[in-house]
Amino acid sequence: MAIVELKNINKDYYLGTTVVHALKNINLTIEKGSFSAIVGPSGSGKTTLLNIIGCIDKSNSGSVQIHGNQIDSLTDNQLTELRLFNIGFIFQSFHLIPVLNVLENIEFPLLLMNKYSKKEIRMKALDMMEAVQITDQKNHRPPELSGGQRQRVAIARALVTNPEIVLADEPTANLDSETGSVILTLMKNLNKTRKTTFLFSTHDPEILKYADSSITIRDGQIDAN
Amino acid sequence: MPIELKIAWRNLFRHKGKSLVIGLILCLGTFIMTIGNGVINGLNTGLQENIVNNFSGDLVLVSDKQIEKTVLASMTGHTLKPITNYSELKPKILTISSIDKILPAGAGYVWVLNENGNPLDQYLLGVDIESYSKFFNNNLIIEKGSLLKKDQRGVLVSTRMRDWYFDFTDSWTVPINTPFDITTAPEKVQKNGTSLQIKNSIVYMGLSSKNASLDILTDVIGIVKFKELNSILGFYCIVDMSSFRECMGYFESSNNTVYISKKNKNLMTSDLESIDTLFNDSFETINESTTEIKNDLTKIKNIAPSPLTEELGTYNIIFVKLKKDLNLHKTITKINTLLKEKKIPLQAISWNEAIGMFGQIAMLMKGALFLFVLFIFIVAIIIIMNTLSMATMERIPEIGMMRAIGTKKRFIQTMFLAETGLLSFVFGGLGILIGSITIIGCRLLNLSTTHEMLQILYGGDTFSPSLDLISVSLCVLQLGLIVCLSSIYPIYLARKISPLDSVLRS
Repeated sequence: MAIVELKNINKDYYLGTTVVHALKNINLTIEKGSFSAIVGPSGSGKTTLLNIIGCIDKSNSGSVQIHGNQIDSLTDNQLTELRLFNIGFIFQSFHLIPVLNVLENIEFPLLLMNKYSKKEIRMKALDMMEAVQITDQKNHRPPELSGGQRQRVAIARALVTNPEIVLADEPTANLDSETGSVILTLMKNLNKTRKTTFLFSTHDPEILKYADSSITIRDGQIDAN
Repeated sequence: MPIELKIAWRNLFRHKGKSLVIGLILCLGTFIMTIGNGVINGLNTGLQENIVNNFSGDLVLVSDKQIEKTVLASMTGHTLKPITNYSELKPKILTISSIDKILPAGAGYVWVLNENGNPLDQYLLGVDIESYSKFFNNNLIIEKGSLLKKDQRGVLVSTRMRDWYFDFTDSWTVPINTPFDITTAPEKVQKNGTSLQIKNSIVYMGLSSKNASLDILTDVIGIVKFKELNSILGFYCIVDMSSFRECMGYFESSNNTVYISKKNKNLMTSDLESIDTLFNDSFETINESTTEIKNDLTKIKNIAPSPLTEELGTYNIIFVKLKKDLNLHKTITKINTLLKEKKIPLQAISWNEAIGMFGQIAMLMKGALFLFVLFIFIVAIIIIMNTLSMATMERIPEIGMMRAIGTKKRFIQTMFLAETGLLSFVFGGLGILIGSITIIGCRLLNLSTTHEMLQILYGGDTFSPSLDLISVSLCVLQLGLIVCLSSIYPIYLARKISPLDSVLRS
């Protein structure tokens, strides 16, 4: 079952009078429960593609369907809700809220959902902390954590809402190779145990061995599937 | 604690430098605004208390034909329309339940005639001094001489006017039968030495509505000063009612109609000071032996000195004190309606309208103070808005990330408002507190002045800024407005931040 379906996606950026074709006629389907990678050199359009799938950016033409929702016609608030309830994000530079501690950072999206009681939120967050093995640091704030620990918190935050898909933009780019491989192993395990769909971008061919499938992108076009 | 507040609170500590800068601006702004509001409030209450208690009462009643409302300090010198039947009106006025007590008087603009030919102008108040002192709770302090006694004629010159006479005529006013000791006189008087003239009487010339005028020579009975606001209220000197009426050309209680023959009338109205008239053909010679003239003179003599009750004469203003705790403007409207209903030919004017130019100067001062407070208010808004906008731009990645993971614009808006609100609560509250303590300190210092403009600003002789519940609420409201207005643009910027901005910045 397809969780993401892109049809004829084009995305152009305008730099003064110059038009940059970031994505050209992209057609893509991501299956539920998959662990897929988008591979390509820098500037190939990986991040743009992830942004469009994550409802962070809009395409110039074509249609995007996430979990059965046609996103082109959604309002800003509806897109925000879609991101909150259906999509988890893991950023290259972690992007944790610096003034909240580890536990509070993980609880944050659950609080925004306005769906669970305080007790439920705390339980879910603690479970997730255990899953990413960061329980000992629950009262630490992001600046007090290492890169690997921060990315674990980011993964926990992305997964705590139990989203349909988790998008990770170069999740290991700011980590050393050993920590990177630990993080990817963790993501892979979560994909297996929780059946969460993962789509991550990378330009490191070493990381590809963790992916079930890969999408190579070059100059805004998909090379092979 | 809601998560928005928690993030806002911690963000303040995270950006300590910026928080402190904005906080100090807020603290200083609210401090100045509190002081400004305190001075305006002190000016209002001080002026009201001192003028109402010392000078005008809560309101004045004047003839309903009176057009100009600044009846107690008109710059134009227009005379007030006379109230000729006070004795008939008095019982009717006292039936109005909101009125506590009344005092009839005469107020007018006069010239002080002097030897150098340039008349000085001033205000004159004609009263029965006993009733006046009772009505205004002994508002006069005797500096030299005494107050007027019952039925005594004369003037109580204010220290303000005594100084003014001296400045313009080099004559020093001293009460009659009071020895003058130059060693106790002010330095400027002592400097005048031998050329100094001592005056015990003053010639006032009333300015009537037709500009025809009468002049009276009045003995100075006392030199007095008003307990409060002497530099302002001292433009008035106080005379007995009979002298005032004579001066303004009003009928006295003793003015009764005497019918005399046409021949004698011509004789009495002839200009005897002109020598030519005496040799004029038309002039009728006086023959005192004639019975007719003797009879007429007897008639006049019999009537002229008979003092009927004081209240039978003409007045032009009635001071009114209301019963306590009444809303002045509502009561005036009510009294005016009742006056019309009862067919009393009078109108009620509030004290602040009646005092005219003093009120206008006070209004100007209040306006200037208000503009100053407004200026501080705007400057605070601009500085805070600018600092907050810069802080917002620096936080684009953080806000964009929050938007990416599902934070709605409303959450960002609440978070920003909470940050500014918390800062305002702490630092603005501190500013109001320091301002209030400063105001209490100023009152304790008991700073006094004799300068007339400062007396208006102080609302009395001493600087007494005050804060009541309304002024404090006003400070809080102004603070709230600063928070809201200075947050509008930064919030607009923050709401515009998209998740994509965060990704692009990264």
